[in-house]
Amino acid sequence: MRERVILTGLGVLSAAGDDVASSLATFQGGTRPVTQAGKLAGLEAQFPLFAVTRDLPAVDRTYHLAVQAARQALSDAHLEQVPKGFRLGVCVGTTVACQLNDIPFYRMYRETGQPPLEPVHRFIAGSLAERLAEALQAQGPVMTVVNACSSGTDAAGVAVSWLRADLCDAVIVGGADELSKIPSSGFYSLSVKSPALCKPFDRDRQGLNLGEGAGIAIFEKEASARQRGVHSVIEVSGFGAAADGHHLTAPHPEGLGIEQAIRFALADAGITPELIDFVNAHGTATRENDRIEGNALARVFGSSVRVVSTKGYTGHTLGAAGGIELVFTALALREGWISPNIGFENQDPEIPFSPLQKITPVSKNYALSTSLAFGGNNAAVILCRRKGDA
Amino acid sequence: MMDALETKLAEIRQRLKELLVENLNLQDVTVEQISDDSPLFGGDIGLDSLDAVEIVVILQRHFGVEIKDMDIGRRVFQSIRVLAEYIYEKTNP
Amino acid sequence: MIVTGVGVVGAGGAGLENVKVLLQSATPPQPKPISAREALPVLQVPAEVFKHPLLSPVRRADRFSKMSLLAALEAWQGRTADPARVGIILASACGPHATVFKFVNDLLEFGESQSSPTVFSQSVHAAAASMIATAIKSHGPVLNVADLRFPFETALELADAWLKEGRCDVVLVGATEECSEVYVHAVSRLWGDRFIPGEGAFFFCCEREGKGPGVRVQHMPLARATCTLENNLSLGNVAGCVQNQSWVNYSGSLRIGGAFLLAVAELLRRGERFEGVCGGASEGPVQIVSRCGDAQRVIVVE
Repeated sequence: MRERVILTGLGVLSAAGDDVASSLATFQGGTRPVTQAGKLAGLEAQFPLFAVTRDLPAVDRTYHLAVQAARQALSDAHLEQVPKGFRLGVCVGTTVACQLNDIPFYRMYRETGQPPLEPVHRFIAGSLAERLAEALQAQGPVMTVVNACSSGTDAAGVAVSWLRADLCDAVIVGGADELSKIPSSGFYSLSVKSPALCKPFDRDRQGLNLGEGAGIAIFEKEASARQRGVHSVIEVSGFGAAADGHHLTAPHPEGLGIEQAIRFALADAGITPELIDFVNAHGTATRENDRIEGNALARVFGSSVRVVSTKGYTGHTLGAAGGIELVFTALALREGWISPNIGFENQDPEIPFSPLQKITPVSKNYALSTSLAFGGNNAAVILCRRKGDA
Repeated sequence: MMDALETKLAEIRQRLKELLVENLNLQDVTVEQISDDSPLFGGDIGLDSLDAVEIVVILQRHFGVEIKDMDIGRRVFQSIRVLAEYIYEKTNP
Repeated sequence: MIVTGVGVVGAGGAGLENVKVLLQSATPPQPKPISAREALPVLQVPAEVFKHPLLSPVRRADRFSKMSLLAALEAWQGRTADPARVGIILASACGPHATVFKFVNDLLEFGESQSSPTVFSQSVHAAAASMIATAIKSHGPVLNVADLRFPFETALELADAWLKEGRCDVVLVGATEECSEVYVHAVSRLWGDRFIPGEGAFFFCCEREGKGPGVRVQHMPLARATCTLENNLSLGNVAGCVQNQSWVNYSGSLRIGGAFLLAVAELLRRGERFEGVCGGASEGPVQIVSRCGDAQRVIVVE
């Protein structure tokens, strides 16, 4: 009998809010969080940026975002103190924190050949997951997933595999990323950034806005949670991942990879498409992503599929996106309502549906969160609201 | 006048070919093999969408020509000849 | 799980056979400086490896991706499998940092609005595995791992979990590390000339248990192992690193040393003997013990 994995804790920081409660308030408020255009020092072009409002250090920022969200989730799961012998793993995704990409360090190296070594010391102190494990006394398996924009969702898949393989009892899982000049410049060079606020799935969308944040959940074996006296209404039902095998930056033109990942997740969950209530889509607001993902969703679920992208509230948070959206999907199931797809105004004739435009009650038990990434990685995770559990 | 113009355009075409071979790592293609009028995309050279945005950067760095809109890009990237004419136009207003 | 294919790109060149030849020669390759700017000698992959015909279709690939692709293709051996059930896991400590620094260099040189999208795309950790998936036409899960302590061991453990879970029928698991000027500079500033930095890519085609030596990851050494290959990752314990690990002279110091040693273990299991590296008989289990501080991971091959 396969191990059941439940979600016992949630933590999140993004432009939408510094925690779960403030994020829900933002969704109910119906307006976008204030963005800080050009806040990132030294940016040459002015684009909207979705920054976290919590006052956190600029240096080592991804780590600080991650540890804040992780502490929220551990508190939610009543795991602030990890019991002796409890095998707690850490699997988190990132794109910025896995690289030594300190620009002043490199500038000094170029100009003088003798840069200060503090950035190197910070880098070799440990990967994001390793440092979280040390800070949070997690003694189980540790992994930093660097799958670009699907890292957070892929981390969820790893956590599920670890728990089913009995490698640990619970996992701190999700993703974190700070705003950084490097992806900012990189996405600009790819012509996928929008100079206006992003409009996921909209006919007139012009591209993505970058954001920062962290989304962390605690995945736990049901048996372990029961033993600790902790209950949860949310179960992680299934996970699927599939590679396009097509191109370094462009998704498969027919979205075969994301469709495959979704179908794998459905099969893993043992359910059919009509049981899914809604999809928290990747929905970056680029021309290509939304068209391709939208059509894939319509193929699997029909054109009446209920879709929301929360990137209108958070921007595209890269390695954090999968983690943040996992938390938002769980919250929607738990609270019984889905946030609207802010920024949408007009249906794109090339996309067979319009996303949800107002707060919508949840009516079924299952929800799906999808992520598509550079290099053609596609990942999908299914959560369900368990009946009869408090 | 026409000879001077054609000479200038020919120089731009040659430089473009050199830059494409070097910056797009076209390993099996030589400058001589790139014709002036064959399609750059969907033709023999096999350029794709990533090459298109890379060409935008090449134009900025080496000619000071900016393409802000990829719709313009799609129009002027048709061939070396069309692209050279666009560069000339933008640098000799 | 079992290993049914091995691929190596390293200081000895491309191919597992080159590792065998190098170790049998008992003559370590000569380290050389990476550039005029950085004097610390390193063991790099020979330049001719990057002219391999298999690499000509991947014109955009950087050094990191090329090493990964070549090693992965050797391990894959052109086998056929259901593409949707082939997984890839690529582990690294520092990733494609040479390309990251190239991108940063471009930012400083040309500014944010003139950076190269191709260089940016290659600087993302996921690029190499993406090229592997395209090359072998696989459509199963692809995972990229970046940790400093046991990235390869954790990747191998996950491959086993995927196979047992039924998520995949075959998993290509590998580890890649590269040298760059900046990396060498940092190593020499931190540790002087006590380390010979190395680079390479080491891939293993893993399938479910069956005919062939089994591979597993555990936390404690196996008492009945007949050959133990030590991989000391403790950065502070420099003397231990050099003395106990003669194999480092053949590969260079690698955070992913466990992957190089698994290739060596595979050769030992095939009956090869390398007196300078592991004098013990290997009729029984071979184990690779990787230590970092108080933590350890053991890869057992039997």
